Amino acid sequence: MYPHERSLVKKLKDKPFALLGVNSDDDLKALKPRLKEESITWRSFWNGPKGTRGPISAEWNVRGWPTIYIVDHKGVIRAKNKRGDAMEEAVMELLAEVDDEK
Amino acid sequence: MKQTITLLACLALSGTMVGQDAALTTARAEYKALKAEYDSVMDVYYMASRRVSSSSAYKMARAAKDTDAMRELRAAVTRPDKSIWADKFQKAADRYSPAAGEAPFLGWIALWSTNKKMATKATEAIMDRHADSADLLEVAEYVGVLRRAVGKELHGKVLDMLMSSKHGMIKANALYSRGYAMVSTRGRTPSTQDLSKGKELMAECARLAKGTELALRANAPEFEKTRLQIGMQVPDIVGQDLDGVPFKLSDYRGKVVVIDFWGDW
Repeated sequence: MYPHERSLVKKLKDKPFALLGVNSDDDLKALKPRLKEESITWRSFWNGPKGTRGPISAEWNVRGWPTIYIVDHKGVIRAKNKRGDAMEEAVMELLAEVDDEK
Repeated sequence: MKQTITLLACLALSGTMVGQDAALTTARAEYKALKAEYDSVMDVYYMASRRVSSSSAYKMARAAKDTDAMRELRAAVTRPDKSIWADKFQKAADRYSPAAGEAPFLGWIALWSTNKKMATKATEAIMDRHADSADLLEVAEYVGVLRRAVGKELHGKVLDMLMSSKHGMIKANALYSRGYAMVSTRGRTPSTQDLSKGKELMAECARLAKGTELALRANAPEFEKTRLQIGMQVPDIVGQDLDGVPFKLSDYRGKVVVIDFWGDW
């Protein structure tokens, strides 16, 4: 999972794009060194000390990890659970929509 | 004379009550300490095994599909022996048995002992003696584990018991568990009857657990259906990042956003 996200974030760093995580690890202290090891630079909400039972995933009915939502620049949900190349393709299409509006 | 006897009886009774309360308080503190000790042992183990699986040697072995090398690397970390821990919890339970103080220890054994006989015995003891205990919250939260630990039939009985608990959050967790099983579409199509009954149980759960994460979970299937479909305006997320800095999803309006629910496991 990480390598693809890393490359996407790097590739789109000058575009109107953000990868936002909702991290469901229960132990922040154990996670912190892992962020460095894996070069996880993107921002995440923390789902709290209850981990996978935390409030954000609870409200969003998340029952499997990873779960992915892709949202356009107007805040409309446009795709769910697209990973890898399919995720990148969906993001590129939505970025093109932003360009079209300019 | 009669009054004196009544008074003495009252004193004796309240004396016992105080004694029982004190023993229960001690038992709860002891349970908390033992559980914390177990959790920290497991944390050390998880950290160590995470270090192995993120090491370059392990990654190389995995890339080469060298299962022998992978096994060897993993063998450097020994998993704590659960049966030793189950014995510790059992010993503590025995010291309080049959009083209320044994309940939290029995709950742990029922859920987490890998010995089915032991788990079954603990579960039966809970049903016999502690149906209305306030110390069954963990059992209620993880009641689904019992399906595997003690079998479907006993799991069903425990669920019935917890659903009529006088303690709100215990009852709420049990209602959620049964309700969710009824509405779940995983591997089955629920009947209309199950669907409406399940929704009813989840709604009751949400009422009882108002303001908690459990209530959010009980409302979640409806939330997903009505707020999280493609084409809908995304609900805001308000929270904190991993450094504790508050931020909102809506701060990123104007950008294409990928929201990724992830965990490092």
